[in-house]
Amino acid sequence: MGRNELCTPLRGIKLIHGYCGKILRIDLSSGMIKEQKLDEILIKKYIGGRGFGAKLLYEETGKKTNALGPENVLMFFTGPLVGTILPGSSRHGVFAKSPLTEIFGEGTVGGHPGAELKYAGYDGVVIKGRADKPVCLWVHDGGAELKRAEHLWGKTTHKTESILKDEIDEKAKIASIGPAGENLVRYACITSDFGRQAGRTGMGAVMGSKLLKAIVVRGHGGLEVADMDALIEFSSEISDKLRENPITGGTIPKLGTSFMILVMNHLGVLPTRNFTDGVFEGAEQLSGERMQKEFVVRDRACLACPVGCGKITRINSGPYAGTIVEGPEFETLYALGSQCGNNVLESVAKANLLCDELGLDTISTGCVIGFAMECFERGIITDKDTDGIDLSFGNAEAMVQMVEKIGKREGIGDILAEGVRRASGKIGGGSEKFAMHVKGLEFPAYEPRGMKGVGLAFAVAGRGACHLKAGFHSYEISGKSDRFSSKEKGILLKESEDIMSIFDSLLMCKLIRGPLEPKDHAKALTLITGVKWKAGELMKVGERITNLVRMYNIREGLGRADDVLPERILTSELPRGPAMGNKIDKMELDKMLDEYYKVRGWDENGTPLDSKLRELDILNIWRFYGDRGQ
Amino acid sequence: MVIVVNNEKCTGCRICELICSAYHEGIFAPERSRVKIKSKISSADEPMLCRQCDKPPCVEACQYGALSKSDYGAILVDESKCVGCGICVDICPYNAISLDPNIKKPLICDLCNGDPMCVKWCPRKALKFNE
Repeated sequence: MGRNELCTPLRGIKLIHGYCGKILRIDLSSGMIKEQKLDEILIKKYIGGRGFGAKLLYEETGKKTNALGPENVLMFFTGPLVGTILPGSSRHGVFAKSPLTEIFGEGTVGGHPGAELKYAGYDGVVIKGRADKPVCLWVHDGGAELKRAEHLWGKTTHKTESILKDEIDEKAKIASIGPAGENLVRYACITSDFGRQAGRTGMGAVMGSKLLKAIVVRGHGGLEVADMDALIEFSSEISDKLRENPITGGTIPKLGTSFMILVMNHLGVLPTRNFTDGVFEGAEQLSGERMQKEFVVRDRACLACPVGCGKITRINSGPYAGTIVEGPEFETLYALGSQCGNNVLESVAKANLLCDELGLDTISTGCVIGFAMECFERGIITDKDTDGIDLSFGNAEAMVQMVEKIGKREGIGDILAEGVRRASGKIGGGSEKFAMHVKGLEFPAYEPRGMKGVGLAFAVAGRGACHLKAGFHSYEISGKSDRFSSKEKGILLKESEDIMSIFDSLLMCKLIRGPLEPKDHAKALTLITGVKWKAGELMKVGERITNLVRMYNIREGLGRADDVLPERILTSELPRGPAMGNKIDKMELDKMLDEYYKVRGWDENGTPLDSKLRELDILNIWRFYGDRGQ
Repeated sequence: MVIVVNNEKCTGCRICELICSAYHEGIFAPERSRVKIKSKISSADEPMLCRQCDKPPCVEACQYGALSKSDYGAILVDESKCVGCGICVDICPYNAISLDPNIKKPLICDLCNGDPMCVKWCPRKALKFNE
């Protein structure tokens, strides 16, 4: 057995492995740091990650919580699999009320800080309040302290990481914000390991509002599991499965996520020029195949992952020479590429690097810039508004300049930094009609008019227009679900959302989900924790978490009226390509919603019925915390 | 018996660190692994582990006779003789030696009794075993 463990098994009624058994509670206003024990019920009902985030956010924030105020709660959670050798088990999640959407905010990210936190002896960190002056949180073996960070304020995430590694520990794992988070750009992200982001819903802005510049973690401990031999054997089997699958064992290690550019373009669903088209004539130039041939210099993996999807690219010539960046990922190639009508891959790499350094979600940033470009093309904004920048579609340099303006809130960047929903409200001129968001979260790289199940998934996802809450595009690309039909989406969507909730609670990577099934996760959880889990029980936890997030949003005032799609999707048909002529009209969406709500056990307004909440054993939370307006 | 490292292939997944600590210590604890990955950005990550030198500087430098080279090539640590001075850590040209964070004695690759785990588990074949 191990000697002098820092991460000892949780001692409850039964011994539960895989968890450290405690989280850190920080109050930045008073400077107080406490340890809180995890209880067995929390673990069994919510597992970790998103489950913990949903439960605590529900109990500790409310309708009156200002997302950028000291009363918002910023949470970092790992899961029981994190820190083990199970492939893909290296993520952590960030949860808070979102300043972009004003509802449930979350971002997950891979890399190394999650595992490092476990090795330091903690399952998570919960942060309230607001510091007087910029601070960073230094978490180490069995302890934590706040350190001054005034000298870091204003610096990019990369510079911040370098300096903190020099000052504190060269092997520290660091999550930090850049100027965008400091400037409270509503879709600011948290960057870690130089190239990974907890990207969406503005978690970086929440961190910035608390004057928390960085979290620095170093752990020398280890993680025990219940059955080491069996887990190692199982991990080996999973590795084999991943290697034998042509996508996880071939395409993704070779090209990373960028392979999706040509796949999506070929189907006619690559969003182009602010969703005015589903086919981009510049797709070949943005393709993963070209990226691999001309720009990729090495591969990069998260902890414990045999796939290694990360691609580091280097631009050697042209105006963006010298750019070295992890990426661009598929989403970024859409957002800063096809969404802006921009086929210059080098400029996408440069803008990607700027986003990483400033701390901006590339998806929201690109979607907003594409929106601004359409406003410019229509004359709703002019070069007087853009400080002379020609913000036409396809102007690569203009796109790059916009990224800086947004990160620094300069000129029109100050309006665009508010997100496409608020920006279109301010800009007016009918631009609300082509502001591509759901619930305030900007669209990712999927054209719903050629993937109707994805349309439904975006309309109902817990954090807004999100491709990862269900990953439904996988079914409509493979043909498991007919992408041009709006029938029979409800059951499959519920199932996929609940599976993804499981992923977000275990903190497993979704990129490798293809060859895996819930029974694999149940087995992993059993071998690691020592508690027997079956697939059905795990699915129930997933369903519970999805419902709890829904309840949080309902308490914030959301209902069926917010389960919508932008007017462009409902009224304009795709003009060309394999998905030509399609749209999702209101009646179709209504039918899909009715079917989905029924499958979910929700009423016609999309509110979970008492019977469903009772079945999931969360009726008490609803009744006790239902009207909490903090 | 020698482990050969091809840096160019290393993705920094650290599966080697996890399997090494699991095999030797029974837990997942990269700080107790005999192989450690040095993280880099634009150039490949660097596995740091013992290369089974013909004339090991660590063995020579140890004043207490705690290190020796086994007949199959791996460096052996006699913990009872080690005082934790750390000279072996400093002198190793491959940065392959670190001290166990708890007991402060050297962690050096022992070739896993002739079937190195890290070599078996490396997904990109950055580590090879020459027998």
